[in-house]
Amino acid sequence: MASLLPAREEVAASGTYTYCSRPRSLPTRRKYRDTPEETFHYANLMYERRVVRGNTYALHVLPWSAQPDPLEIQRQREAHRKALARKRAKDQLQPGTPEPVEGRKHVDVSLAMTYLQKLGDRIVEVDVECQTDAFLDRPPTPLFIPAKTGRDVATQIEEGELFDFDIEVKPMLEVLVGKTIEQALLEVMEEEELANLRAHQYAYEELRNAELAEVQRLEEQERRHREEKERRKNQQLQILQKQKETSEKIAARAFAQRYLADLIPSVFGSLRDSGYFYDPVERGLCCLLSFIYSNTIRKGIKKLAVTSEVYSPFLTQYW
Amino acid sequence: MFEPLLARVHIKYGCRTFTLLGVTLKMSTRSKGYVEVGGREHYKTLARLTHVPSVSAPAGAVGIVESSLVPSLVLKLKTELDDIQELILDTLSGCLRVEAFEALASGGVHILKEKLIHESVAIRSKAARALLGISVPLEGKNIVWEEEVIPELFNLLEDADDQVRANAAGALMNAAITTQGKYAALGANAIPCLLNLINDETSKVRLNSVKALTMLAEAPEGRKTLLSHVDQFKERMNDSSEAVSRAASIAVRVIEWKP
Repeated sequence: MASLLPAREEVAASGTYTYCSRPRSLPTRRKYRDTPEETFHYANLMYERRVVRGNTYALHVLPWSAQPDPLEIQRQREAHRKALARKRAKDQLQPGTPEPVEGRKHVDVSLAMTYLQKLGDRIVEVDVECQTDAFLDRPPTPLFIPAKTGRDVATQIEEGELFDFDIEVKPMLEVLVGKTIEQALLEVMEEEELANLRAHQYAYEELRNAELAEVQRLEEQERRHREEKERRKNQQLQILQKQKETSEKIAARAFAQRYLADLIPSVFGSLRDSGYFYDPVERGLCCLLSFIYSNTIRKGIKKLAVTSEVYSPFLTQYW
Repeated sequence: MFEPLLARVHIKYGCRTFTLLGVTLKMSTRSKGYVEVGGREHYKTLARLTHVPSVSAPAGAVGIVESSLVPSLVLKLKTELDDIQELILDTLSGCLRVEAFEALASGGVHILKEKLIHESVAIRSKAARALLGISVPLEGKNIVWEEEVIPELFNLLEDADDQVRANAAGALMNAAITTQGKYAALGANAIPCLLNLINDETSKVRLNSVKALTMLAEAPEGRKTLLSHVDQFKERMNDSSEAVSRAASIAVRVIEWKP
């Protein structure tokens, strides 16, 4: 109820009709009928008279405004007039009951009550029943031989009417046999060619293997010769090297020998010169003697020194 | 499977769908155990691809090497059935002409050495041929010497089948280029065996044995021994096959070389 009012208020505002109703639960049903209260007016969409139902293609749509369209009004009036005219025409065309003849008067009569007749001859009715036996087997279906329709027509090809097989088959046979033989020939030739090819290939392979081996042998030979050459060259180089070394060694030895040849005499000479070779007795005597001499000389010199010191002032005094 | 058709197309036009085949082969090689029947066609096609004629190197073989199928092929050699092994060996021989390193790296020499003593003649000859290819680069020769394949090859020299003999002689020829290979061969007394083979019927056997003897004649001991047999080589100089006569003249020159 409450929800209906705001929907209706909106009509004037937007111009379109909207409807919404809040779903409501059914009220609890009472056991005993009470005094009928004010019934709620539900607005069930299914029972709303304002909802258009059915075909909407050719509807008599309500006019937009409350005012009926003048065109519509005119049309309605015309239709009404036409209907009246039609009715009048119909009345005129159809003859009604003529007027009564003089002296008579039309009276309405009902045949219902007075002119009833009793039907005399009653037809004899007999009830007859027919029912098949309950447990009989179903009889076999009769053969269905359809009725003969159409015309019977027969035809027969006599001998010699059609083609002669032997003559006709010749070209075909020729073609077939020829093609087969050709195919066979081709295959045989192909196989022969293949065999030829293979033989050729074998021969070639043989030759190739032989040549390959030859090439490799020559390569190998070349390699060996080369290596041998290298080795010999190396050997030669080594020999030369050794020779050089030996000659150098010899030269060095010769030079060393020569250099060291007069080493010993010169050594001895220098040693002797430095006095390393001496007679020990003589040396001992010389040392002792020189020692004694030096001591004596030292004493003598000391004495001389002392005397000169003592006598020097006197000498200076008198010089 | 459309592999046979594919193979024909390859051989005719040499187009490059080996990568597709490589992928399918990889998928089938990844399955453990023996390959199913359809996988045989993979190998056949691969083997055929290596024989596609081309100017410098078979395009198929190049493709196979580039798609790095060689290691997986070598590994498959150990486990597969005999006829598939033949096909794999074929393919490998073709690929080894292009590049041998991958096969060497995946232990190819060891596996091939085992295959040399197989019962089947075809496998022996193809294994010897693969060894021939593998011993072309230097590392291959060294590994062949290390794995002591050379004595095995001597046993094959007396085999009944001529292809086996030819391929064994060829492998020896390649392996004996290095000095150590030469001495290994001389130690195993190769010269008499090879001398017998000089007069064999198949030209390939003659060629390979003459070439192998040429290698051995590079070593002084070999030269000494072969000096006594020079006339046999001189006979061979008038051989029907041009390659053999050329090889014989080279051999004579090498034997009579004085350092």
